[in-house]
Amino acid sequence: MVRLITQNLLSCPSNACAYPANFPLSFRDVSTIEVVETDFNEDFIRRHLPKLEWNALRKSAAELGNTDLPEVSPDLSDAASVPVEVIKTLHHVLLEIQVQDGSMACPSCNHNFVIKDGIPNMLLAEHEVRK
Amino acid sequence: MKFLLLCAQPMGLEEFRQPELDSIATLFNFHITYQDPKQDIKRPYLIVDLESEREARLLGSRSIAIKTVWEYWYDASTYEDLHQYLKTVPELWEKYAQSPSTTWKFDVGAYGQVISMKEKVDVINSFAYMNFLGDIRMKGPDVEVGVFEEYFQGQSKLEKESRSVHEMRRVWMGRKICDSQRHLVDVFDLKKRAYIGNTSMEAEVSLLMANQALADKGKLVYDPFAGTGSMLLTSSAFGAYTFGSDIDGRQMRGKTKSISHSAEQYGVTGKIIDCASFDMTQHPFRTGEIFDAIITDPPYGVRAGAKRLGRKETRRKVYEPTLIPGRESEGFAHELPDYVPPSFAWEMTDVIDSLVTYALYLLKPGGRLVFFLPTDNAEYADVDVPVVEGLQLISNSCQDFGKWSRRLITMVKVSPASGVLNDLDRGIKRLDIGTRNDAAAEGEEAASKLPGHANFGRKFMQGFV
Repeated sequence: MVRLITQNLLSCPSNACAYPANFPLSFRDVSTIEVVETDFNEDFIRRHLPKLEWNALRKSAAELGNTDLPEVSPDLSDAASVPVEVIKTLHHVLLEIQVQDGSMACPSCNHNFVIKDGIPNMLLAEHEVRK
Repeated sequence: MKFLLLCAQPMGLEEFRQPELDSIATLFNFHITYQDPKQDIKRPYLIVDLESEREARLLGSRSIAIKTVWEYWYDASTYEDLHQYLKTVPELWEKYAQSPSTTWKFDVGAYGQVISMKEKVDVINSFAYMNFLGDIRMKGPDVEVGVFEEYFQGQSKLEKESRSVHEMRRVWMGRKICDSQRHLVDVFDLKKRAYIGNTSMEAEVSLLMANQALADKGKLVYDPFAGTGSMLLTSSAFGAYTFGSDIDGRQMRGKTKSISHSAEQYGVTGKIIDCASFDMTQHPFRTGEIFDAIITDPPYGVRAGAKRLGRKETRRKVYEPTLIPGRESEGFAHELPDYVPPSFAWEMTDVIDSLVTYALYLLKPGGRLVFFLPTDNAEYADVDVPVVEGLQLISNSCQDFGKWSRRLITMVKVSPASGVLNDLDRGIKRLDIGTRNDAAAEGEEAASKLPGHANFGRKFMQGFV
């Protein structure tokens, strides 16, 4: 699949990299994107808000051709205060846009994580492994 | 209010029953007490105390370990005692019996003995004093009364019409409240599943695990050894969004079929969010406290060897990108599409210790870790279950296979988490961080007894000699 909710949580695990320089991973060579309608669960999205990195999410969504999210982030620490229209937009951006084939690259070391059949390969090369 | 539970008694899974009932009570935030705190897990009739019928139905709405839930009426050692008592409490049954429009049926069952249709009819007729006025309805009656005969197990003791039978131990009676979710064991049967592998978790156990994990709508649940996705499927079936990872992408991806085919079969396609291939000790999460539960069956080193990226200390090591002799024009070795990074065998004690700190990092406070701990029965002791400050043990249920067992461990992350995480790199121990006392501590550990899961794979292959 590779949905944006997942990609927003992923950084490059190489021993050459550290947060925040290794985040977000940039989408490259995306050959198959699917938009799949998914049941809306408001509670789930609200519960997940504190874990979102808003600017990274906007940037990554734009890489996939979606610019629905407003520039200014709502108060993610106060889930109940976020208007339901924003929650619905988040639902679409986080869950309904799915990358099937392409890759994600680290902005710091440039390691390319290939996505095949919706599953990203995030294994590290021998010299990148943390002991 | 007292309720009578008819339990499923699956062989080898008796210890899983009470933890499941307790977990369901926790999930729905109600209180459950057991009439006999030292309940005999070998017996299928269980009396529990719940606030009302509402809680009884909630229990039925999730339980796999029980079959049916009944309003408790009485239990006695003989039918004489049973009838004598029932005649003193007509309020239990009169309102149903005296209403001509109320349809009814009697359900007569037995455990530990086969009883004939004639014997069942005789039992029903013995309740004639109740004088039900309404019509009998076999399917969907307004009221269903249950009478259950429990027989002593073991050698038959009595002769009855030239048959050797067991002595009746107890007779139980109640009014039906609801069924359980036990039918899901058949729905999720591996033999019927679109995509399975040789390490796929059996349906019943994967459902029990999902209940232990408190999987529910609105929650995010993770399996770091996802394999063919058994725990993702059952957790999502109970409403949770799930995420899976595995160092081996082939099992998740499949060849002609994959996890997504099974997901479609069970109607949970939108709930399995993603699967990713990575080594948990080299994980890509940028932050902790993401998941409501972590539910997993780590590889024991038997059918699937636990492995992690890198090479063992004694082997040649590579510190820089390299070119393959003869294929220099194709670019660095690790960037080629056919590159498989080296990995080495990951010893069971290390797997479990890592899983526990990984969970401590990734779980939200209040979140549960549910995993199987394989163990050599000759070596196991309760101290083998890892203890980490910040995780509290909730239950330890043993599934015994003779020379070895696996134990379903349930832990909860208590808030606040401890300073344990300060010495770790996002939940994983690294050689270059941690206190100077590590080396001394490790020396001490080596001298003391190894836990029952140490070197599990090798011991299994050697037949636990």
